[in-house]
Amino acid sequence: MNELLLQIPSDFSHTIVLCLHRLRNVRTGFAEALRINSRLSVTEPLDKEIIRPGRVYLAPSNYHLMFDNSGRFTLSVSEPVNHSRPSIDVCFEAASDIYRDKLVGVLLSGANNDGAKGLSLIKKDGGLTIVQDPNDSEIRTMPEAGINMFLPDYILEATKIINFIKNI
Amino acid sequence: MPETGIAELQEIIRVIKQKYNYDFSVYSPAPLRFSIDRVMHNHYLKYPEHLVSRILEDADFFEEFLHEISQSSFELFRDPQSWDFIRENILPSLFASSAKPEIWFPAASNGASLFSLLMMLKLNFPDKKAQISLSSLSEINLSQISSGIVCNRCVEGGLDNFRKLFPLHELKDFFKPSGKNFSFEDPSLKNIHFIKQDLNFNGMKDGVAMIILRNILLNYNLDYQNIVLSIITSLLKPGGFLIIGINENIQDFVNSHKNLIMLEGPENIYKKI
Repeated sequence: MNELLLQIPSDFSHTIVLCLHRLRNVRTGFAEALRINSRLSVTEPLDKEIIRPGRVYLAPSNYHLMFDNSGRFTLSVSEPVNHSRPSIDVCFEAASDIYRDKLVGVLLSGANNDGAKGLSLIKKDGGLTIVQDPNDSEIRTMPEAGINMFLPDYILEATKIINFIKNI
Repeated sequence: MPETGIAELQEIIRVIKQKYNYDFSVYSPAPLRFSIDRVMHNHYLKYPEHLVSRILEDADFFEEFLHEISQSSFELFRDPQSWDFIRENILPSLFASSAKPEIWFPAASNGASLFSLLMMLKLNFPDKKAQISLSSLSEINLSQISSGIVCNRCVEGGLDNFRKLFPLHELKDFFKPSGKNFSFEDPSLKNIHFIKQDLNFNGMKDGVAMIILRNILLNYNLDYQNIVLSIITSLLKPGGFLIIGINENIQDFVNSHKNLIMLEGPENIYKKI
C-alpha cells in the first residue's frame, strides 16, 4: 500500500478508496502512516463527506463504508460482514451500485474471503476487476477466494497493479 | 449490488408511507438497502415484491420490520475514549448543575449505550441520580432493551472496552447468564422511561441536559439529519450536551445555527449555548 501511494503522482485525477481490515479500537495512526509516503491527501471520511478526485480515502475502523448517489460517503454501524467492519464486500457492493462501469476494483493480499463476492459484483456491473496474484501475496486466502469465485479481468503482481493504477 | 434496486426501494418506501405513515425516504439509501436485504434474507423473502406483500398484509410483520431495519451492532462502551470524556468532563458538569439531570437516548436500536451509561453511573457516580429516558421507533426494540436481555456475543464484544475504562471491575458483575443469553441485572434499568417515538420525535419533552445520539444520524440522509438536529437541539436545555458518533459530521448545521459549540478534545461532543 505504501509503495502504491509513493508512486501515484500528485496530479492523479481519480479517487482512491482503501478498505482494509483494521482493529476495532485503533482509530489513529493508520492514515497518518500512509500519508507519509503519499503525494495525495489521505484521510478517513466522515459520514456524508463529499467525495473528491485526486484524494485517497481510508475506510474508518468499526464502520462500513458506502456511497450515495449525490457523490458523498455514507457510513454505517450495522453488523460486521465476514467478521469485518469495514467489510470489503460491503464497500465493493455499495461502490459498484453507484459507479457501475466507471469503477476499478482491486483485491489484494488478505486472510479471509471478504471482498471476493463484492469484486464479482463489480465485474457483473461492468466495472474492471484486478486480483493480486496469490503467488505474489503475503497471505493468499483473499485473492484466491476472488479467483475461485469468478474470472477477474487481470491477475497481476503488486508492482504491475501499481503501474496499472498509475496509468488509468 | 444490493438485491433491492432503487425502483424497488422506492416502492417499499411508498407502501410503508401509505399504509403506516412512516416516511423512510428520509433514510440514507445505501445502508437502508443493505438493511432491507438483510430483512428479506432473515424472512426467506426472495424478491422485494414479497416484502411489499408482507408489509401490506401483516401489521405484526411490519413491527418486526421496524425492529430489524433499525438494528445496529451492539457494542458496550463503543469508542471508550468518548466514554472516558463523558465520565471525566460531562457527567460531573451535569451533576454540578442539577440534582437530577435529564438524559435522553433518542431513536435507540439496542441497549448498548444505555447499559454503558448505567454501569458508569453506578461505578463512578454511585450517590448521584439522573432521570433517563430512551425512545425508539420500534416497540420490539423497547421491549428487548427494557428486558435487559442481550446475546452472549454482545457482552463478550464489550469486554475490552469495559476493561479499559474500569480495570478494577468485572463486566460479569452487571451481566448474569440467562439461558443462552445474558441479562443486564442492575436495578437502575427499572427506573428508565421507555418511550415509543415517531420519526419526527413528536411529543418528546424539552429541557434535556444530555442527549446521546451516537451513530444514529448515520441512518438518515443529509436533509433529514438537519431536521433531526433542529428538533433535538430545541429539546436540549441551554448548557446541555449533545453527543454524536466520532465519525458523524454536523459542522454545517453548527455553522448555520450557531447554537452549539464543539467541546475541546478529540470527541464529537457539543454544548448548547
